Amino acid sequence: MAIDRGRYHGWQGELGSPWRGTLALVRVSLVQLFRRKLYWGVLAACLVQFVFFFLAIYAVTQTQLPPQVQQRVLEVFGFASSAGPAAASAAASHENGYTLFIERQSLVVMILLAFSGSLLVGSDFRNEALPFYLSRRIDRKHYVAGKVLSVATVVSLLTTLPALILFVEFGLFTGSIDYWLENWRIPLAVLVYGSVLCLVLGVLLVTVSAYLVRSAPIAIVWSSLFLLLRRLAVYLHGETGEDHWRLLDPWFDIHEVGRMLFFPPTSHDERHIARLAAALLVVVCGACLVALSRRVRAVEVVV
Amino acid sequence: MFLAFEHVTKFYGPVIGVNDVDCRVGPGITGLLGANGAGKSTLIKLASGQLRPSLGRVTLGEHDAWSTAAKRLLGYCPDSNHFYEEMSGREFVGAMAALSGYSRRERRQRTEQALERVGMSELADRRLGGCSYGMRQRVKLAQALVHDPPILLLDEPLLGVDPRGRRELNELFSTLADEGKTILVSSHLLDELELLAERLLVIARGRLVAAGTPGQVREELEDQPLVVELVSGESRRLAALLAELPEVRAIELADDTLLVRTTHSARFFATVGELVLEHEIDISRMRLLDAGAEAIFEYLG
Amino acid sequence: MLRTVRAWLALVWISFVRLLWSSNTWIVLLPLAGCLLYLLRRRYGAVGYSEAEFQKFSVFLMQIYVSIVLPLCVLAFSAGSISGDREDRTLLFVLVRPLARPLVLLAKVVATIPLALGLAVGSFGLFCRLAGQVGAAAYADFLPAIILTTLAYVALFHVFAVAWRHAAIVALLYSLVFELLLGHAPGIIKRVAVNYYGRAMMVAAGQADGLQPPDPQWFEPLDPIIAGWTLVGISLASLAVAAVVFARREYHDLS
Repeated sequence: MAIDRGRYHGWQGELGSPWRGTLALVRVSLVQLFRRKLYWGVLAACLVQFVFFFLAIYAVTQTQLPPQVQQRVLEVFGFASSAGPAAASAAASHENGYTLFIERQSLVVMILLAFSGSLLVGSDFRNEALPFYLSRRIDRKHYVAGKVLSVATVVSLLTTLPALILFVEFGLFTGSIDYWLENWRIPLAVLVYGSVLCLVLGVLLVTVSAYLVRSAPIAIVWSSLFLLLRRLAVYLHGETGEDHWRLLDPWFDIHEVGRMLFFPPTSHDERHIARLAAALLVVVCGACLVALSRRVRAVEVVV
Repeated sequence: MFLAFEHVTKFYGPVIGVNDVDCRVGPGITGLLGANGAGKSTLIKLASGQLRPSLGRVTLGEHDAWSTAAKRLLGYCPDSNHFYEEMSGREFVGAMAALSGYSRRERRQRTEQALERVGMSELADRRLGGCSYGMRQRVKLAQALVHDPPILLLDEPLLGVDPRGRRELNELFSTLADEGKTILVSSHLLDELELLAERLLVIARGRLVAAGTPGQVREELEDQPLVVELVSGESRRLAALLAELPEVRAIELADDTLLVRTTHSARFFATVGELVLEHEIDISRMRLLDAGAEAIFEYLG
Repeated sequence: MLRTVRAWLALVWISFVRLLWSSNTWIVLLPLAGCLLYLLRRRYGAVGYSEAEFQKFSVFLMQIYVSIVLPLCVLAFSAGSISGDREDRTLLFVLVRPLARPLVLLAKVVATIPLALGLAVGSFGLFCRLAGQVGAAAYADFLPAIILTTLAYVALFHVFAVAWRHAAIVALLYSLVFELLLGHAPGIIKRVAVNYYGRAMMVAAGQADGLQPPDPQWFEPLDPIIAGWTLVGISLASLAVAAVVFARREYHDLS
């Protein structure tokens, strides 16, 4: 028979786990993002802070700056305490540099994610692409996991990865491996902090984008959550002196939980706030996942 | 009223979308035929004033296609499937009539007439978001007809329409053509256009490769000799077999490669397939060297 | 001529209704709700009028309301009008109608203004009402600045809408970089921000009630008349630029 002569035969291998589909989803999503020139421009702008930190570390370790200038540079970038290099909190200050870097990236992460939401998730709903995904062997959870991982990758590119590079740079330029040996907790803490950031931002962004779909509403809600609420929380805390208003700021909550490995809370109040922040994040993420389970469907019923 | 493309070329950066297309579309139905990526959409966009030509000119009557005056003469049914989803079909067509500047009474009248013509009068109150593809297609047609334009651009107008609907719409197009309208219908399905169009424009790789009645176009392309490259370990045996075919004009043999000049490409390819199976000849490659005609062959064959 | 006018008015109405009933209208209530909750908790002027309370409320208005909330509110409608139609692939239906492109843009702007201005003035009025006597003074002093700043944002964001498909993101980037960062930076660079002129008008108007600029070491006072006319100039110039861009631009993603 002609078709046999063509040496055609059916698939004879074993199909892999649906989680491989999740990884494929991540790949495809990232390609969607990085195909756009505007995205590269925004990403480059978002890494300006990293360049400043990189240069600061280089200046401090490789150039012959006067000691007081070195100290000032380290203080500005959070790698030294203003109490001086001999202060007991010197080690903690070093870790503070990395947390400060990640915290300062919050604004640019917010902008990039506002852009990403519409491209990564909103476009799937706008262009009715969900049936294509969900008609494969993957389930809704694989789809959601894939999208969250995509967002997590973007967040990591701006926070976790650059922070780790700064850690490697610091050790490299000090000329011995002692820096890395003495501060072995830092990369671990960075990874944990980054993971919390990635998970919370990923779940939030995927939920917001799945419901709002278009870039304008996503941008408004995202800015309201991460810019306006932050300012309002600072105002309320400043005006009333009540600590719990700080929990209104999602960045504060994420940072409180993420920094635990860096700076475990010592006082009762700090522990209380950290626990409340963690509980709030768990509740919000849980609510988002429930909302996602209702939204992510292959078929949309229109009345 | 004529739709004229005067030596029109359109560049997308370094890529040519349409290359020196020169033709006039007059009253009646003209089919624009071409494979995906041939340049049909570019021509349609140029005619509807969405794009400006890099070289040459596109005119509707006396007016440049980009001008506002030209848009009064034009009814455009795009191939996209996007609407004001929150509106009903009636509201949407009414909105389009309003954007043409009609008074409220006239708007209502024209909307009903247009919906009646496309067979959507009874279903037009349903929200567009809940309509089937075929219904949405009809609403698209209705909004193109609502202001009774002399020139109609229809981009894949029968896509998603059931066979009965196709017959009804084809009758509508014929009626409109009889009324003296200039209708340019874009499609990649020759069978569909052969029944509908009095004249065909065939576009491939951005160039106008054939123009005329459907019969003339078929004949012209069938008579056009093509060069086909075949690579086989038994090239001599294959050459001997192919030389006996009446449509083969010439064969060049070089090692394992045959260059065959042939007409009636569809028949040739069918025959080659039968020959290689019957004589158990392995062919490792077969391709058309005439790239411009390849696309045409694919949907003529 | 009559048909053109009718068509234009029809486009204004259609655009207005679609914007009004769009999700953006509800979404934009979120930042306003945030401010509302803050004001309910803080209760400026709860114990009557004082210059200190007026100062604090004015600083809140300048740093939060004018710098963050107002651009977000305007973004919802301005970015949503043309670039929203582009995202939805419905702009095509408008562009193939016999209406000149500058008129299409003007219709979109005119449809946006009542919504943006209504929201800005309405929310400003509500916030001032919640602030008691302090708010009443602020409303009288700052209303012209709020109106002119809103109109300038409407016009400017329409430039983004005709130039970029993802106008909301560009507008957000602009708001953060120009309005928030550069607009509060020391030196002359702050003059690139629209809200600088709005704040200059507010500071000048509030001086009679004892208002001091929130960042006196960096803030450069500006004559309110000049500031006002600058905002008008920004609005008109932005509209002109948007009209030219829209009239000449080819959109390849209409369908």
